[in-house]
Amino acid sequence: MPIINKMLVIRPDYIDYDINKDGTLDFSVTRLISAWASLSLSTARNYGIEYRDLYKNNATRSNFEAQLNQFDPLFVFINGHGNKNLIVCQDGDLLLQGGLNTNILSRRVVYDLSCLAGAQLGPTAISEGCICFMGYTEEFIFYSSDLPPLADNVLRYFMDPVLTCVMSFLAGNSTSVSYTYAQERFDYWIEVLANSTDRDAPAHISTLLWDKDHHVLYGDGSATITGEIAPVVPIPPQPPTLATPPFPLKYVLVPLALMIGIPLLKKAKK
Amino acid sequence: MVNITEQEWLLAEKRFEALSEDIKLTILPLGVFTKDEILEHIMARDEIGIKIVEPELNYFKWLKQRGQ
Repeated sequence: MPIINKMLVIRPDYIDYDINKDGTLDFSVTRLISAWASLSLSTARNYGIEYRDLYKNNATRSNFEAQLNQFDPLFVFINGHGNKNLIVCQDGDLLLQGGLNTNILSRRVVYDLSCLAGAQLGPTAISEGCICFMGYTEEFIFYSSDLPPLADNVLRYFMDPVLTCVMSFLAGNSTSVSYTYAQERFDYWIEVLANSTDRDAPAHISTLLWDKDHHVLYGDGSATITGEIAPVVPIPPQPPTLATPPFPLKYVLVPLALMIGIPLLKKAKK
Repeated sequence: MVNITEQEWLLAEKRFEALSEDIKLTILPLGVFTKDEILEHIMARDEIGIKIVEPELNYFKWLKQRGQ
């Protein structure tokens, strides 16, 4: 049985596209995604979640399978390129293929930030015993600027919902609550952009609508990282300004305050 | 495969023409596209053009629902 309070993150980082036809400017989409995915590590530390991070040259299938066997985490956060029935890792090497090795996801919770794998690979993993699979049934589409990924406020619109979901789960919320928060974050940024005068805002909105519509959750919506039923606190998204951290801390602080503060208040009243 | 009318292609073309020059659109796993490349694919009406325009169709529906 996989071990609760443990997370395995895989973050390939390699030159995966030449943006110019002459190949003069190399571009790494995996680098953008990996930078944002790294934010999950500090969150894990904050919540006492033990983790292993397979980054760049360590983001290989052999390391991934070895960590699943030895470290045996409940939660697996996958970043990389995908297709309907496969996900690739560092340098485009095969990581997972539906029916081939998806059974290693059995009894685990998976968040997969790769394209299309939610269409086929995800359901296959669920049929093989995966507890919950969250991912995308179509291409994950986003805009970015030339700024470093974590300073890129355009990229932020698209990565923030992903990280919200992962961080919410790490904070102890259930998969369905975390998924809902992510969907609300998509809505939040859509609304921010709808009220913006930025000439690129309509394009950003159409892309956010697309990503939101194809973001899926399969399997058990009540699964938690602690293995216990978490208090469900319905909190509408009131996200931060662009200068604040990508994860709305209230998603974490309010449930914690309710868990800790209310008994204290009751005691104080007595 | 989604069916895109000629009117929708033209509308999308106009919309992308109005975007900033330095935009970068990533469609995983198809690639990363500059504004010029986006417009090339739209004008070519090719498969990548379809993937670029498809989200726009959702956007049109969304606008309609919002009454804009």
